[in-house]
Amino acid sequence: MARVATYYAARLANYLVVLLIAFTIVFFFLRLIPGDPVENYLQSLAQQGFRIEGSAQIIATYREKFGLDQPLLVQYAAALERTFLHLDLGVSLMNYPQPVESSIMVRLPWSIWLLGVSTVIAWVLGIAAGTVTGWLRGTAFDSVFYNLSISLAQVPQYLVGLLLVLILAYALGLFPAGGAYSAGVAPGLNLEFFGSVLYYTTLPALSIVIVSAFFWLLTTRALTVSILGEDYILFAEAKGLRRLRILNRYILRNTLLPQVTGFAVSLAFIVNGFFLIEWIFRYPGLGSLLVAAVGQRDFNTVQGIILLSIFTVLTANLIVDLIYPLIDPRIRTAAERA
Amino acid sequence: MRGESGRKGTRTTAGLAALALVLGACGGTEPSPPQTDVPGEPSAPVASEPDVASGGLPIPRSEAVVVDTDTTYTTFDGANLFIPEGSQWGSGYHQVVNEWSWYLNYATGETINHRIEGWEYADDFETFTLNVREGVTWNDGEPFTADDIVFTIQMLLDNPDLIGHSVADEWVESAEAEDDLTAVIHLKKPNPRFEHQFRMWGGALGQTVAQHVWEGEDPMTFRNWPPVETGPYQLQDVYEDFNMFVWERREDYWGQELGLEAGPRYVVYRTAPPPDINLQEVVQGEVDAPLPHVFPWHMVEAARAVSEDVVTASYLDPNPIGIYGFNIKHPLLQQREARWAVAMLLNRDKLAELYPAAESSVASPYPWPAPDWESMARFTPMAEAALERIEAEDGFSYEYNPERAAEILDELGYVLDGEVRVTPEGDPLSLVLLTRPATLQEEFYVAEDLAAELRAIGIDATIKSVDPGAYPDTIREGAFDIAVGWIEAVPSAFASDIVFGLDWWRWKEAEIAADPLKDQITFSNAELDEVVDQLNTTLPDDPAAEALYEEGIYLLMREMLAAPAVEKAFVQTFSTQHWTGWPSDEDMYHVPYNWWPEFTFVLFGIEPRE
Repeated sequence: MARVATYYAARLANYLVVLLIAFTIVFFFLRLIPGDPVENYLQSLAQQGFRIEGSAQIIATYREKFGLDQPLLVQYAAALERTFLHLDLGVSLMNYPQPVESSIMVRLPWSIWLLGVSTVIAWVLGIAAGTVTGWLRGTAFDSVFYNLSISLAQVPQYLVGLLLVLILAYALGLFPAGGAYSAGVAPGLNLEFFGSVLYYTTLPALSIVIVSAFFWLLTTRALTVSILGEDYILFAEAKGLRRLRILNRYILRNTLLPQVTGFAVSLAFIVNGFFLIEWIFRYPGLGSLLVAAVGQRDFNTVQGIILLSIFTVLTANLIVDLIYPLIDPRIRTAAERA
Repeated sequence: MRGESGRKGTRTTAGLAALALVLGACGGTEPSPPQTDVPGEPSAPVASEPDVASGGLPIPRSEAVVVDTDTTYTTFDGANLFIPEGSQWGSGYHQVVNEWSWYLNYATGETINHRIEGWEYADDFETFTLNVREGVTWNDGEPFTADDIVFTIQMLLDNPDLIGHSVADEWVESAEAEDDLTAVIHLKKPNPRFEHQFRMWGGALGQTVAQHVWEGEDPMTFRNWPPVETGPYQLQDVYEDFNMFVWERREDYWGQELGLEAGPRYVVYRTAPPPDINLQEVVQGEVDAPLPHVFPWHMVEAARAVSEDVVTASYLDPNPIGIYGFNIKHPLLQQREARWAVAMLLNRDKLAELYPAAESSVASPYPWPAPDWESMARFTPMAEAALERIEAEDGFSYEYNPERAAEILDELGYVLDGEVRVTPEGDPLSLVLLTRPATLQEEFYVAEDLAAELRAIGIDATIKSVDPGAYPDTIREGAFDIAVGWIEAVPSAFASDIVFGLDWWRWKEAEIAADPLKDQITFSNAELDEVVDQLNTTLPDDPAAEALYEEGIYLLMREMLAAPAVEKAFVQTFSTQHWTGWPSDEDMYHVPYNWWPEFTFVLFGIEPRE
């Protein structure tokens, strides 16, 4: 028991250290990007035709306001304290003085909704189809789906999205080409809004599901095929168990374990948003916010989104690490032996 | 047991689905609650006509003009032009809501006195009087008066951190309102062109704010939202989730007394979708004015092949592309003869073919847009005369002539040693061409071609591409030899007065040190200083100014500080499915650019399609 507790403690400590290192890398990496957010803004104004004189004063004032006039290590220490001790991601430089959290929280639910639902659907479909195709390996069914997967799993999702828009939205007029919901519907907890959200989510979700499901199918199929060669499968067949029972109790459960890890990590990445999909479908997610922030050198917002993503991935991994011993007795036993 | 775990799994899945729905519905997203505190009657979203493909509009399509921008909106609640990120460029606020006191119609050369009747100078040009037009009103119904102008100037004087303070501080001694319609500004030094501060894009001094709204507010943080302005449109609503601003026509717009009536009831500014989708939308009439930056010529051709309702209006951008500047601290390039030699390596006819959009991709030698800018027509003969004089005096002509370029370098002591051109000290001559990346700007191709031409005459030329954000720093640090990019013609172009450009090119050391946006490409010339100083105390239409302009243009062009290669034309596309009367190549009654503040005059000229 003590060893299991040590296992958990070690995982937790590792989590904190990795989080700190990731924060440090992101902080300094962003500062390597050339350009100053204020000067960037004034330069863009000048290019648009505005006359900007006396910019030195303006730049100095706002650098001081944003804390950019301090030495890099001082900025780092301040950011470290603000982020980890006060859970404050700072203010948005491109939308000053709005806190970064506000900018993120407006977009985050849309990213979670679109990418979360798409990821779950793709995973479920991919796991199911992958298990069945692996189970039916060598048949025509397997051949069709296997070859289809190899082709489609590598197609960029934004390309699929573009095709769906052009065919299903413009050519056939079955779905809207963009947006998160109809502009004529008032958002709220009502069926009309939910229905509109579902309707408008269909195409962007489909563009993600189509590619991702085939990816999961391929990996699951490979796992299934390898499991089929195990002795316990042979034993189960020799015992005369029904094929469906073998598929469900022996094959599927063993393919699920590694796929759960992958699924947890892929879910964590949804907080990155997906800029290209958001751009094609004019979806108000985090991806477009991230790209806008990078373009305007809004260090705080970029850092906030990346940190959120890192935090989510690390936390997802930690949760998987912590629950694995609970669902797989072999790991629990190994931990105890260690 | 399996049955129990199966039921648990079902409940979990259902819960997650419900959670996802709830999160999507309400978590943190407040998609554009109606802005109920808009001056005048509150507006509410109107039920849209069926418009499935574009996701629908919150207002009737037949009453709206839909305009694209390439900007991803980040500021949805600001109309403060004096602080960084205080307003959202490309949202329509600058185009149809905010106004200037007067405009130049660059297409026709016409001066448009808008919020003012005109201006006067004292004989010493140290007192400037603005005569406000009677009847101008803010969109909350309050009158626009001289007090607003004086208040704005004083606000800029009192706040050193506001954009525009430095200009106010440099020029303005004091300002007062003699009466509601007369603003008198006392200048610290003579300036016979001070009216340009109040012209479109002339400067922050001209961004008059409503005293009754701004008084008592901290201008460093005040949002001015919803915007209180004098323009023909006011805020209907912001649709953050749709990256869209909707502006509604003011029925009490003061400009109607002048015959300025906006056709569309609504103007929608939104972020442009990807090009393929944008093309569909233009063809189907779902957008009226796509943005040329993201709707290039080949897409225009594709749209016109499918739809007769697509029309175009091609107009020259004020910034030609070419050699943006030389590092005049370089031993070779500090000699103007060498700069002329490099300019002779620009194959303008060949480079112009990179821009098939423009029937008018004319590679003119002037560092300002010509000949389409009617407002600049006055200076074209002067530039031609300057070129003739330079050819007669120096033997330099602004033509592609690599043989002559090589000769000039030989004469300067930079001769060929085998196939490599060397400095007088015998070292191989190399030049670094600075540009922005190929993925972002067309000028990269100009740099590439120029580098090839330099190599052809024995100079080791390399291209350094830097991120646009790092471009100014690189210029300032002198980490380049030849900068290729947009030539700074904007000051002259928008004022339609060459003196602004002449003044921009002068090297005033104190300015360089104080202003990071003033790069090291400008130069020092006592003769030019004298001409510009005289021009700065001479009215532009004074007969004495003519000779000064000619001499200033000659001195500038003689120095070859910038060499235009091509004049970039933007092809503004319009759909006539819903609105007609757009500017066209046949009838360019106004600059057609949908991102310019003058676009409001285009909206005055269109009407619903029958």
